[in-house]
Amino acid sequence: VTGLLTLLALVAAVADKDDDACAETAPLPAPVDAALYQSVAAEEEAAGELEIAARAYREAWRRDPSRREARAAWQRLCAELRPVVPPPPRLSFFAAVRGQVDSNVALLPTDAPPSSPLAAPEADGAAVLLVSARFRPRPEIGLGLDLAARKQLRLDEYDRLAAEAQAGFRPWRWGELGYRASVETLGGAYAGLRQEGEVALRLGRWRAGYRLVGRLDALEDTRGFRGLEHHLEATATAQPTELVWLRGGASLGRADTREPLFDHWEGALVATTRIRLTPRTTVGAELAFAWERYDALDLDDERRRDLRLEGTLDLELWVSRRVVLLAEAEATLNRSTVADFDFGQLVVSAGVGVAWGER
Amino acid sequence: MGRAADPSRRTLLVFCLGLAVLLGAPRHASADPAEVRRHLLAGVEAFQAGRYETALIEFRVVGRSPSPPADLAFYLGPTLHKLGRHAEAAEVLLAVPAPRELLAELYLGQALYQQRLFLAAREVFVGLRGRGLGPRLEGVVDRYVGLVEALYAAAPPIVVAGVYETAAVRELAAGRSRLAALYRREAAEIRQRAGDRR
Repeated sequence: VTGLLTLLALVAAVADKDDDACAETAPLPAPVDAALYQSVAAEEEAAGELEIAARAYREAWRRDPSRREARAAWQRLCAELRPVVPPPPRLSFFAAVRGQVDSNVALLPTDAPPSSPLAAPEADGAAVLLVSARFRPRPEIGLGLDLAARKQLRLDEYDRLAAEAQAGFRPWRWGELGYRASVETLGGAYAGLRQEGEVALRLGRWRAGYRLVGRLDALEDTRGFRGLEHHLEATATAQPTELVWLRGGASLGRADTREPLFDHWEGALVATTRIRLTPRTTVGAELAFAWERYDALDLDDERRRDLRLEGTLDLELWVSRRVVLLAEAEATLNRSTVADFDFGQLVVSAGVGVAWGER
Repeated sequence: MGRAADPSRRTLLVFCLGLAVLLGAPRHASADPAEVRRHLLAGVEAFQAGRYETALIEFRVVGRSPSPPADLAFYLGPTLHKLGRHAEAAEVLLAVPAPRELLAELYLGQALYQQRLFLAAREVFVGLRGRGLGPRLEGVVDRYVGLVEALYAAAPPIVVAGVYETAAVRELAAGRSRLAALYRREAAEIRQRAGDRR
């Protein structure tokens, strides 16, 4: 699948023959006809053809670097055309390969609270293949499908296959509804179903949402985690300059499960930034701090409390208007009052994406 | 005696206009035909390489020369069509008196079809038959003619005529009078086929 996506990306890159209108170019030694290009740019901008206008402004500046107004217009248009965080495209595919090392593989099966209190810590590496598709038939409707396959190097019983379907709807400018459903297998056995519904309000740069997660874990040692999770989340975004985008978020969650041992409160603080280095290159960083506090005493009469720190760094390189390469490194460190729940994880990913439609 | 007839004032006016043309931005492209040809060639090369945005900019620059080549529309129209700007493409090509160059005519038919001016497109495609397009393009032409004939096998509902009349107003407002005229003609044809006696 990754090969197919890479091929698709290459085809799209070839099909997208015009270079990026927002890429830097070196000035020409002899200025010729710069005023004409600038007038073409102004005409195209007036017609709403911003890509072509940006290209023509760039050419006007390239031919006569003393035309600061042409360069300023090019930069202004490119800030609009290539925002640091672009709106989602109409159709996109993404494939990534990921290598990961975990110090405690038994904690891998579930995304949320570690599930297997009896499993002894055991380290292993894994290779993961991720494929995703996103489709936005209308601006207010988003559909998605994610597939993931993880192959452990040593502990086959934790090999994982997962599929997730998503649907999002924005009935009003300030309201969002979302639904996700995912199924997974672990070591070849059906491991469970997870469903998630979300309602959110978005006012300008502020967003507040409530997310309800229902889980039906099927494996023997996680079956107690059947239950509901409630999450309240709030985020705020800011863009101090055209090149820098910031987001801060806080969340509070509660898990009510069939087995009281798993009931807990959790909270997190997340800070994210995206910085555009060049018109085609964006670097992103995210730092998250999370805590969990369990209601019941553990089997060793310990009350489990976890503190988790997660850091992510990624580099996004648009090789053409449609094709993006992504490299990402992510580290997680979890410290728990119950030693079995300590874990560390290091993930390195490389992926390719192809997008069509506005972005 | 009116002011316009005053020779000294007229001379001053001509001088001022000349000065405005010389100093005003944007200036015309170099009158040097070699320079114009260079831009035209750059546009053609970009078009052939599929770099349609670059091609359009070069052709627009050529269009700003004091005496643009007579066949500029044959380059500009297809480029606009490739960029999905079918209305502009059709208007540019319609401005050229018939008979047009074969490929330009083919692009015009396609642009009209994209603008849902099906009957006008059919007329263009039918006119292309037997003009030596070659078997592949003849096939394309036949396919378009077949599509339009299938579409109009039954008379369209009268409400469609109203849609075309609205489009005519929109195109006129956008300064595309030739396209607007075709929308009006298409609307009249639809009314006639639908048996409307208005």
